[in-house]
Amino acid sequence: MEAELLEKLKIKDADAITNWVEQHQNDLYRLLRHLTRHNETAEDLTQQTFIRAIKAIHNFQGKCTMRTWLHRIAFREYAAWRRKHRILAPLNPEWGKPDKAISEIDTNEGIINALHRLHPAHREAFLLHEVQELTIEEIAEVTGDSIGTIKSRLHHAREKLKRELATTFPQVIHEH
Amino acid sequence: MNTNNLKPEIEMLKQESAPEHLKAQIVQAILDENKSKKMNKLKVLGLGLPAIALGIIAFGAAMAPKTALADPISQVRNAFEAAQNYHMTTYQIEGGQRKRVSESWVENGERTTYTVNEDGTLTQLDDLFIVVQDNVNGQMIKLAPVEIAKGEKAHTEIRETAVVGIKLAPAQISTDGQPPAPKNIQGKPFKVVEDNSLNVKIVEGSAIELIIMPFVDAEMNIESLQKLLEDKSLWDIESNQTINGRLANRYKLKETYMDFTVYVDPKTKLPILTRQILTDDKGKSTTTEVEYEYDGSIPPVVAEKAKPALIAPGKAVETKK
Repeated sequence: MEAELLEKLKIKDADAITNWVEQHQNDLYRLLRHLTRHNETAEDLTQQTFIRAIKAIHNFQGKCTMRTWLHRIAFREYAAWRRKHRILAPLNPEWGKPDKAISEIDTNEGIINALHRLHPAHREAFLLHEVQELTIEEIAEVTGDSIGTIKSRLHHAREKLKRELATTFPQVIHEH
Repeated sequence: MNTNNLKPEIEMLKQESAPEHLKAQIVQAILDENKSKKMNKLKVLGLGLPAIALGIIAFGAAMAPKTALADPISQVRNAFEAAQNYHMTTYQIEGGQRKRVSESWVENGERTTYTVNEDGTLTQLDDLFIVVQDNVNGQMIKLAPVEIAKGEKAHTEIRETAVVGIKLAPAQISTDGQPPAPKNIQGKPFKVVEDNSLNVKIVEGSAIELIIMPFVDAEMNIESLQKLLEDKSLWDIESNQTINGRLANRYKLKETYMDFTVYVDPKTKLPILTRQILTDDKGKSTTTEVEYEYDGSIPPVVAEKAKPALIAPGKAVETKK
């Protein structure tokens, strides 16, 4: 199925492109949105990822899945963006106010904020593994780092998140 | 520790989905891109670099998926016209110390650039470079030197050479992390000189993407600067700033990953100083300043063009007219 899609993408078949984008856009957008914390930037980078991918589609050799390959391109787009924009703007400038009631959404923002207090490399590993559900090997493929490095980063990310969320949202940790 | 404690929160993070309009937008962008590529293959451009251009000026707009800057590439290309006579001094600023790194003289469009050696002597530069990025593994590679005459006109030639070279390059895809070896129009391989980790821009290409450094040289010519300054949408402008004791208008480039400022004489409208600050992945910043002088400075002349010569500043045996 993927081979057939690939052939159609190579000839820029509009229907195939539409299906391909539909299949992967949520995945990539989610990653980029969590990494950048900026909706428009995530949209831009998602779009740019697909454009880069379609240009390089002839180079896709099937050594990894299309999904991993797209993640790798998306990650590079993000890395380039990060170089340009060192200050990450929070989605909601109101976050972190101590007297705010903890709703589900707030808790969600809480973990996002906690994620963004992590070292970038730890955050990236965490998001790729826990949210994008890539394997350690796939993350290594995406980021170009060694498996040992990824494991180490995941460990540090989890430890730090545990500490962060225990402070900010103690019930989150204790209730589960 | 595992992530069981965080499962509900992680599940919430997974719920994020793309906005409804995104799919149509992306598909349209891909199809448009394909169309415009067919229409204008010469869009792929590259610029040569003097070997000293470690203080490259790379305006980052083309990295933006949406056209934040209105085709800055062609603006610059169009702006490369015969330059007036002037003199440029480039400084690298490290740890508060301002170090003179190069001197250039422009005469009737011909530019001669010299690096400043440790002992204060000058070495003429002839080599121009092309920088490409491997689209597969993201490596940046500086290719060259290409046999080409010095001066701004050479940039055009080197671009076109690069375009052809890049188009011949797909078979040279690097899959093993090693730099690929793209070939030039004659099929001769470029020599890979060294990796290049400068902030530069990618345009397009198949296997190897040419990197655009639209306004490249730290020593940009006056016409390029002036042309750019005409597009007010690119800049934040502050009038009547004092720079080096002189009154100047300050143009600060918007929407770029580097900090780039041009100080312009409010009377003559000529640039008197540019300052760029490049920050690498590790947060290390490199500041380059270029001062422009319009005092009719006369360049030294190298006796034997084929051999880089050392000439003490102010002690040139001959002078150009």
